[in-house]
Amino acid sequence: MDSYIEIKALSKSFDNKPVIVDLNWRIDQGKCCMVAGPNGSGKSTLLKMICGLLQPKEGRVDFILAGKKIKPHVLFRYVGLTSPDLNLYGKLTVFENLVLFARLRDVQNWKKKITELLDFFELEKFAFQQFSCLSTGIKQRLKLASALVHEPLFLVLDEPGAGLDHTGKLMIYKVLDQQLKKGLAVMATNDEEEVKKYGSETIRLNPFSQPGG
Amino acid sequence: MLLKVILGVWVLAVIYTAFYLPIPQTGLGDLARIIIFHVPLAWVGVISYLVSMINSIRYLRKEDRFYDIKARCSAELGLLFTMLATITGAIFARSTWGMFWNWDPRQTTVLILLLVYGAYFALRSALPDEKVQARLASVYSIFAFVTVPFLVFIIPRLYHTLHPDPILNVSLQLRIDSFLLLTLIASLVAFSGLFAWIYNLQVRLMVLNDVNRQEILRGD
Amino acid sequence: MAARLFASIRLASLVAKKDLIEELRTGYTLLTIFLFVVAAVAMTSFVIGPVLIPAELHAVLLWIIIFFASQFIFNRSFVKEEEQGTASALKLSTAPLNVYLGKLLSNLTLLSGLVLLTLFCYYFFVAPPGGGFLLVAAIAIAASTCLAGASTILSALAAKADAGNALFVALVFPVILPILFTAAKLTEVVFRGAIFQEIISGLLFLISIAVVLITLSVLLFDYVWRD
Repeated sequence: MDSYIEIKALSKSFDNKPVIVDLNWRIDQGKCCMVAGPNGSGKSTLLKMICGLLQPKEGRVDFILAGKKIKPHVLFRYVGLTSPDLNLYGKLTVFENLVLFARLRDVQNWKKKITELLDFFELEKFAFQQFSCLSTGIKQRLKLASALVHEPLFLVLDEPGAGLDHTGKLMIYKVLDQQLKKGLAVMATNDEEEVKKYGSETIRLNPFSQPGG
Repeated sequence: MLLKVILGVWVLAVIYTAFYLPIPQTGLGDLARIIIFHVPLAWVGVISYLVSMINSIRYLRKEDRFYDIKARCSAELGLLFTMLATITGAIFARSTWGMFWNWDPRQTTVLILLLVYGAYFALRSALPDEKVQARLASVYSIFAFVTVPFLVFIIPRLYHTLHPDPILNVSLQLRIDSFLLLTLIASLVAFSGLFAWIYNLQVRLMVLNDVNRQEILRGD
Repeated sequence: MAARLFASIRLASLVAKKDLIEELRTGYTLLTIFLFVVAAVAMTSFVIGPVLIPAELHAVLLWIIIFFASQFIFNRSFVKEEEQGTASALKLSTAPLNVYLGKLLSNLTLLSGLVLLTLFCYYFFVAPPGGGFLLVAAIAIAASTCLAGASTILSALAAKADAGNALFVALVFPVILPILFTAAKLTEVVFRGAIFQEIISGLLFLISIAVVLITLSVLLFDYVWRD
């Protein structure tokens, strides 16, 4: 099924200072759109607006699936997000966090899916440790796993490599490869190598953002 | 302009009637004069809160800032009118029962109502983002108005109170002298007119302020 | 329609279960409530001693203890989600209705546990007159439902603001006062020896408030939850 994200005239300000100004973009299925820019250029803000976690000042973001717009109240079924600001539940174990997010999203065969994710991200030995007790890198892997548990068509990654070792970063690249076969990805990063290696297209944000391609 | 002149004359007539024309010396006697101000203040206060709720519903449906401004203005006026009703009620209490405040169920519930709408403005001031402020204040305004029937009409009737029998009472009988009733209705019209006028001025002022601020921010 | 309702209840129970597990594993809130209730009731019993006090004083003391103990529960649900950064994960996992119902359910469970604990302690240490424990428990559960209905959405409102904790107190206090007054009045009537038929209208009044508050919250929560 053909799917894409359409960004129309998107603008956002904080304290009357513009962060994103009149952004227009389309991200098609099978593409990985990189969002690049220095600190404070609005990468995380843009990704949050794409996911519907932040309301834009002007403009809108549409998610299209098989020619129809996905309604905002069911968007959570199709979008997966990982972000430095997004945390999981500290007192729940790795396994419990995955079960929670799988069951909330009504994932069929969630036990099988969780087993696959634990295996893929090498989290089996941490399965019964509480999230708050994990190292930064393992937390990041779990966040990625929970973003993928419902096999989202639209994967949004905000600096997914933060805190990850070389093995962890290889996992991200595998995730992207698999994701682009069935959907699309939007990724914010400071790493220019990642931009060159994985970006089909790039949105470059500057402070007082005038986006460029 | 003509309407304002008529309103001015009307208000003067009500004030004159309230203070100078003879009140039947039965029941409360001269103390009944305060009813001419107290009851309309309370009623208009309730109407203000209703107007605020209606505009809040409109804002949530259309996200038009104009409705948020209207909701805010009517909530402000509602608070003002309710405070004035509380003060006139306290004056009556002092004259009748010897104390300004004695935690009568009516006094207690109106104090709670003031706290409810005071919290509305506390909420607004705690939210810096305009859109978020408008949206959440609208939600609270709708929520707050649901408490109004309980606080104003239901709870005071459940408990023994020293407050005089309400004009609209459970037995649906009008227990008020006809002349006083006429004056009261005239006063209600006067205060409603005052509310409409102040509300209109305030909304227009806030809209102008808003437009001015947007122009400054855009650098026009 | 029925299938959707059952689905919502199932998903809401997942959210509630998550909250309750977190509370149990943290332990701080539950322990604090327990210690507060026991200390407050024991102190009340010690000060009153063998003196017979009027039924209205018993009712007031009981509900003051419940009111202050419930402050430990009221504001935690949404403020905690925002502070810990888990609100975004929840927003991207399920519909707002399920989140609200889940939070309501967990608040109601904790509040019901609190009032029952307080009642047990009060009857054990203080032994109020009347003896209608089940009637008082029914009043307490009905009032808890109203309190949960009011505090859940107001806590979601306060969580969006700066100084959320202080704002929450300003928002919730005037709304719950009439509920507490009604509950205390009904409790006084039971302590004076009333039977079920005498308090049924009061119970229905509390239940009707709960229905109104929860219905309104369900309709409005979506506007509060989204950013």
